[in-house]
Amino acid sequence: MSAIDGRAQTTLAVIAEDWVFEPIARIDDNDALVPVLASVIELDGPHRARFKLRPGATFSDESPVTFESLKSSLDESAGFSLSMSGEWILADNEKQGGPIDAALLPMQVRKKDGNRFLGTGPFVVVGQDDRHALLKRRVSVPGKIDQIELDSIPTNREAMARALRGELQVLPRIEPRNLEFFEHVTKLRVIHGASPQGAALFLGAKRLSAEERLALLQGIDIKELRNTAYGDTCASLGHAAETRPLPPGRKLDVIAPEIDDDFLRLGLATRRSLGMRGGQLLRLPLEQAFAAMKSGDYDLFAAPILMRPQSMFSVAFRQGPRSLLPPGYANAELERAAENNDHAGMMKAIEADPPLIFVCQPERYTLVDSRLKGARVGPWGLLETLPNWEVGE
Amino acid sequence: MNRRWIATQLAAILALSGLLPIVGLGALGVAILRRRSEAAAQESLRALAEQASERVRVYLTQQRETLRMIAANLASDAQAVTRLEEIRLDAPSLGPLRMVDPGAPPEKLPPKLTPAQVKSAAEGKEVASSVYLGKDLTPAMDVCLPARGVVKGAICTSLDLLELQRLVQRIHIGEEGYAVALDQSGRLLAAGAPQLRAAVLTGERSAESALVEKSRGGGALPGTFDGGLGVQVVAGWARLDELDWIVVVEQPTSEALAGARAARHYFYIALLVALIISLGVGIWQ
Repeated sequence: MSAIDGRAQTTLAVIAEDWVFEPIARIDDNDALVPVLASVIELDGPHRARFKLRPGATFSDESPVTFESLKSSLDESAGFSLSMSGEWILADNEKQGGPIDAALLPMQVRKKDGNRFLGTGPFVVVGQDDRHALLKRRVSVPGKIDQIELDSIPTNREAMARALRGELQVLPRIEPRNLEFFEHVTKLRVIHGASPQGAALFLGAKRLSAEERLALLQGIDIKELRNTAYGDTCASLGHAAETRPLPPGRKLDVIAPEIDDDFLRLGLATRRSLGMRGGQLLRLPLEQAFAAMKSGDYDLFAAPILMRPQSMFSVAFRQGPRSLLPPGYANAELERAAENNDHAGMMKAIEADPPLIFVCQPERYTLVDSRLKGARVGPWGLLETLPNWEVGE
Repeated sequence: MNRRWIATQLAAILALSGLLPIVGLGALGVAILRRRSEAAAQESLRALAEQASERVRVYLTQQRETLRMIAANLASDAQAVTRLEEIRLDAPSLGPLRMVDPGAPPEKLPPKLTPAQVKSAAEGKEVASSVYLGKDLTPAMDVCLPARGVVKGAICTSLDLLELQRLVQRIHIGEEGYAVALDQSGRLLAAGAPQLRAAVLTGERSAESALVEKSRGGGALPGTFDGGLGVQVVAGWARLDELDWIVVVEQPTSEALAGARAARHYFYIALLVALIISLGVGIWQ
């Protein structure tokens, strides 16, 4: 487990950071910004926002959160600038060019204190080693979780066995196939929600003309593809009612990165959906797959893409370091819509000249102790709502 | 010693002498009822275990038939590998299918089959591993069949036996009865009782494991014993030779023999009432 320091690298530490460090704002189920460390936040166009700090907000050493501490925390890597204007703090992402809410969302505010970082969230890290961490609530709230012990368990097998024995109260990620194990286990229940990441097929613009990409969008039966690859564990993102036969042409190869079995199935199902034009399925280790994605040297590429919030999604379609636009692809209309965070405009531009085909949005599953009331999967951070869960009898 | 005392003693002697044979017969009846109830419960549980085993056997047979059909129709054309890869989309219970050359290095062979077994499959004999827990924690079995359309090759896959685990987990008898599947070494492979499922993952032994291990030399498996949950159970066992599996369906004695227990209680109550009435009438007279 990496350090819980507001910039964590490993899954468990990233999950825990949501309880220790707060961003200026989070998103709700409808992708609307909800102030967290701010008391109020207002967007001023796609690149700017203004907000007021939550009165009385303090770091865990009880020092107040000030404009200066915020600036020194966020300036490290946020990429946007902060300035004061009366009571308001202005966040400006004009220079970077991306939507400001997408820039604010992942930025957790922290303060360096010796060799550790302090946050403003409800929990504080009181101890951590490579495999364990202990978090305590800064101010006890009756009926709510007061202390969290994190345990990095080396194998799924051990984690599931411990959950079945009642030794764990939360198992953050569980594969849908393994849910069978927990049927009739009354002390645990499954919570689930849509992942912010969707599954998509990127279309290599270096190898495929605009006409070919459009023909693929209209020719691949997305409903069938989704059902074959994921069954009922991946929500539909909409699809054309009818498909058209693919025009004749060379065989098309499909890259499936070695992420998990789902992406392999998506790769296989994609190749099959190409019919006579289905070529090779290339299963590539992540590093090689990433290099292929960067080079644009592919026909079709099954890959995850951040679907929400919409502002994050638009970042993927702007030129820049976080762009997922296939090399060789240019679509001024799409970039303009992405620049303005205009989701409908983006979807229209993608439909007219597709750089990718959306497949579906998978569910993510978590096991929680049945006594935890109000437990739900967060719209962004998997367990970001945990501080609000109540402990029942 | 007055008359009343003598009358009481006489009444007691008369009541007891009348009741003793009834007590004896009643106790015998209750014991027979209990034994019959136990035997009936064991028999019905054994029937359930056999039904479950039969369903497992049918499922497994179907899987292997599907595999045989694929192997029989396999051609050596360039598309064969592609078709093999895509079969798992339609038959999710089959793992990745591949053509295996018996001379391939061990890392290219199915994990639980030896090079000699794969060679034997390529030469025409169907081979299968015992059941093991795969990477995704579901039971699996490696199978290789001769690929007759391909010169010197076997077609191999791992059968996904999640369906079997599901089948065992979904057997419920009464309020508290459940089924457990074990291999011949006594390792738990599936358990209906949630408290036993951790042992499926970790390989921990349960009460049932010890009994199966003990019966390996051909010994009988008991109809009542202290089950994996620590309570006495009535059980029915069934062996599934194709898989080297044993399925046991268990029901706590308290639930399975509730009828016999109730009959015994009613008998004791009736006996007590009769004794009181006899004594009362005797003393009153």
